[in-house]
Amino acid sequence: MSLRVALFYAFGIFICLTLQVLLLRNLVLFNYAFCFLYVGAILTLPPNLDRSLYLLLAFVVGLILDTFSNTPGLHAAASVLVAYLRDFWIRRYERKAGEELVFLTLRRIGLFPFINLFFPLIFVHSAALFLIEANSLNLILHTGIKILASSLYTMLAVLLWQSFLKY
Amino acid sequence: MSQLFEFISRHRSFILFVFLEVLCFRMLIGSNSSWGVRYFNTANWYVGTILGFSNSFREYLGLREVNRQLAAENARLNEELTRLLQSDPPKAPAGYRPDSTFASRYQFTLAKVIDSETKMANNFLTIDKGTADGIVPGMGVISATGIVGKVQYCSAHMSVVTSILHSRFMVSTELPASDEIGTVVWTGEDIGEVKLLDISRFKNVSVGDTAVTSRYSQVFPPGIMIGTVSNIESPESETTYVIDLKLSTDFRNLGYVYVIRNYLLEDMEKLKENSEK
Repeated sequence: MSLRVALFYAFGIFICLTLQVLLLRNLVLFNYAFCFLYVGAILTLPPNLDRSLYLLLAFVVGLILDTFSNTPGLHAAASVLVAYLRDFWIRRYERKAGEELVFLTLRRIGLFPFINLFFPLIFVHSAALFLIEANSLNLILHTGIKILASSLYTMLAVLLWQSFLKY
Repeated sequence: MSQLFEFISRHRSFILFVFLEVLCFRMLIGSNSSWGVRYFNTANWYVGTILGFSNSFREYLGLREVNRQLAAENARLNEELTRLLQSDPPKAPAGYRPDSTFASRYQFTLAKVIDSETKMANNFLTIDKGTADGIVPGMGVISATGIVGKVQYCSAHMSVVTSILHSRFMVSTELPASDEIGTVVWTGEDIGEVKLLDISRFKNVSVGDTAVTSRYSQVFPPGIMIGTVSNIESPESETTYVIDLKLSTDFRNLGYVYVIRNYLLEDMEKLKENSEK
């Protein structure tokens, strides 16, 4: 990976984290839909990245978010989980599509494959996050609505962010 | 042994994954990881600085609400202050004990100025409270900086206020420094200036003295700021000064005002009527 590409992704993560901490944390729609743009930044890192490094990156990004929301481990757990699942998911996708994915940007893989690829992962992230947070199945309906609304909202935000990228 | 290392090497990402997740849940459950407690929360200096920066923006956006709250609090404090001053006037002789109904006769209602006219010979303001909020024509209106005017017409949710910048508006005014009472009128020239009449030439008045509403005013509580003396003329042929007052209220940017209701006003007027018969 060239320095240029590395910088591109580092900048992407930085932008997403900044937006998340300063802005999106306060943009909760109807008390149900939370936006987790940072998960988009984690998920769209190149797939040929070393898996251990990738997991650590996801952990660090999650932990930074946790630091700001006083929930030590919550975001980190969810993002490490999707980071781990992503490789299996991408490999499965590659087998089905019969092509190798090198860059996971919206421009490279197109709108519908992008949603196909990432929405399940974003959904898993939201589900993990809210289920860990709820810590019980008592308010399962409430949590379910939150999960669905947040994953849709996050997907939209990720698409919006991606459409601003040049590659 | 080598098989073990091979196993670890082959499954290193899974092992790392499990390790990280365990770490996360350790932190979530909390107490055990002291470093997590110490570093990963908003008490961290860096995090605190960034959050403070973010909050300063939100503060700016919240100014409107804060303003409203402050104005409401001011109305409450004004009411309290007037009641206390009235129940124990500073200049009164020792034996004077006012009736509590008399002392608490003023009530302050907060209103927002939605239109303010200043360029005419007779100027009016519009405020966003009306009869639905207990406002009736004749009530006094003041702002945080001083006197504003008197309510003229009311609809259910709006009222028109005659400002002090109106040719027929007069208010009984006191100069506490020289203990004289006169009348303030607006001549229609400058929106920052009014004339104070009927102050005797044999009293000492100097530039910079404050003028406040007098204790004879029916509508305003005594001691509401009107302005400061900016110019004194003493015509030879008259027994009174012509004093220019610089208004303390800027009518071009009025935000919130307080409408003053005097509960005893009706009683007073009825009494006067009876005595005139």
